[in-house]
Order: sequence, then structure tokens, then C-alpha cells
Amino acid sequence: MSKIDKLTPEQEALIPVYRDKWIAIGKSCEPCDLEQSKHFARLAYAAAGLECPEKFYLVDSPMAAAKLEVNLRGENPNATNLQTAINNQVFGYHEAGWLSYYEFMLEVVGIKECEKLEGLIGLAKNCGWWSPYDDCVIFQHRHSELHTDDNFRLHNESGPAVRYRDGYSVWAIDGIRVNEKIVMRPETLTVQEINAESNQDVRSIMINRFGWARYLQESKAECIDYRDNEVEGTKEALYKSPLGGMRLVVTCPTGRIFALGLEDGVKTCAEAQVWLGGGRKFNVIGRT
Amino acid sequence: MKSLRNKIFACRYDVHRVNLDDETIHHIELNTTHKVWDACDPTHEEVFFNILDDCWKEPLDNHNYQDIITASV
Repeated sequence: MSKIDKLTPEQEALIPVYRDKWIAIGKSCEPCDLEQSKHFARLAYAAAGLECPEKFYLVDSPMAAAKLEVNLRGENPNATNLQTAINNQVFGYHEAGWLSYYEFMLEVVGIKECEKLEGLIGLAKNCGWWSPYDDCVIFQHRHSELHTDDNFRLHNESGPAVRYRDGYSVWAIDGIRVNEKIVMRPETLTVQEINAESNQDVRSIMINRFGWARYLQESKAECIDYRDNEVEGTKEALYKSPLGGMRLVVTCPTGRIFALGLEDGVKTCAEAQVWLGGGRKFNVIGRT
Repeated sequence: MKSLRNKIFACRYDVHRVNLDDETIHHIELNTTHKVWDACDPTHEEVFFNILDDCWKEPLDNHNYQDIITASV
């Protein structure tokens, strides 16, 4: 067979089809198809020259699979053993990236060598993560809920961003992992908890959820300047945060309150307005 | 109970390079692997590291495996 150095127009047209198909596989929340998973596991073992055991388990989440492995081994369920069990798992549908490429090579380009991967490809389409052993196979259901933003980052402000059928959950806002309390009960956070958070991204989310105005008040932030902005119809106060950084707290005529971040060195509300306007000094002659 | 993860994975390496030139491979990779990766990997990564972190939070002496043991199929 001669070397292929260019795709045909028909092959080229199928690239976005495979891309979208595999993105859907990677984000699937469907339960495991057990019989199909067994079938493709046998193919995966055979492709590696191994005999597939006939003992199968099906669990709800990666953590459940790790606990099961540790238990079957009769090991102490400590962190090290659980992490080893996690590292023994195959990520299946979460490895959609490279599997999409091989399926395209197999089905569209006709590279027969890729038939060796039919087992792994089939498992990605039919179950969640899975674990191959010499004496059993542990399959998992996929997650049952997945919430992301437009940039595919995990994001949910009203519940877990990822949830499995046994309740195991991952909480995240703007792609940053946080805890349940930050998402579901931010009003119960305390200034002490916020200040003790060492991860700056998490701390920023905590303050946003808690409310900047409340945070500045309860943390006894220093008020540097304040004014009634008669042109804008707003009340403004410039604060120096105890964690560093400056904030201009603006109360609109509607009652809404904004806390706008500023660079250090701003000393007055008027300077803050100039800085927020991109450094341009302008004269407001009226407002709509 | 021996993990066969690495052996199962071994068959993936370079099976595609037999009949394609590098430029075509790169073109397909950019438009399949990379695009799908961008969409799906943030979830994979955050779930993975969340679980690793949670391994350290699990109580060591209060595991009830009954619900898991019944998962044998």
C-alpha cells in the first residue's frame, strides 16, 4: 500500500463529524452498557495478547472503583492504596481526544493497524472509566451530570459541576475546583475562612460569592475615600482590602452594589473612575 | 489481582504511522485529537485531581463496602 500524503475531499469533510461525535462521547452522561462493555473489554484484552477474565464488577464512580479494588486486595484503605487504585483505572470516554483520531484513521482513512484499538474505542463509547486486572474487570458508570461553561471549563453555581450516580461530586466555578459550601452556602462563609484560603483563585471566588461589599465591611477594610457622584447618581467608597489590593464599591441608584478591582496606588474615588475608564480623563456632560 | 493497564495500552503506540506522512498525521491530529481534547480534557483533569485529593480525606477506619461488593456482575 502506497503512502497516503493527502486526504480526499470526502475524508476531509468527515473530520468535523468525528470531532463532534467524540466531543459528545467525552461529555456523555449515559449509564454503562454492561454487555457492550464486556464485549469490548474482551477485544481490548485480546489485542494486548491477554486473556480476559470472566469476573466483572460495575460501580458508580471512580472513587467507588478505587475502594472496591483496595477491598478486593484486602488492603488498608489508606490514601496511598486508594491513589494506586485510581492510577490503575483507564479513563475511557475521558480519553476521547486520542481515540477520536484513531477511529478516524480506522474508519475513514482505512488504516487496518488501528483495529487493535477497537476494544478501547468501544469501551469509551459504552462505559465510564474502567480497570483491567488479570482476574477481573471493574467497569464504571459515567458521570450522571456535567456542567461546563462556554470554554469547556467545569462550572456550576447552583450545584455540583460533575456528579456521579452514587453522589460523588466535583464542585467548580469558572474551572476552579471549590467545595460544596462555597457553591451552595456562600453566605455562611466567614472572613476568617476566606483569609485562610491559600489558593488565590479559590479565595477570589469565595469573596465574589460572599459579596465584596460585605467582605470589606466585615473584614474592617480601610476606607480611603468616599463621595456622592452626582453626575453618575452613585455613591462610591474606595477601600483598601486587608488582603491587599484596592476596591471601589459603587452603589447604583437601583440599589445594586458593585465592588470593582483597581490597581494599587489609586488614592481617591475620582482617580478610580479615571483608572476604570482606561486612564482616559473625560468630562461627563450628561447621562442617559 | 494484578493491574494490566499498561499492557492494555501498549497496543496504541504508532499503529497509525505505517501508511501516512507526517504532515497528514499532523493535520488530522490538529482537527480531531486537539479539538476533542480541548473540549473534554478539563473535565477529565479536574475529576482526576479531585479524586486524588479526596483520597486523603476519606476516613481510614469506617469503610462500608457492602454497597460496592454487591456490584459484582
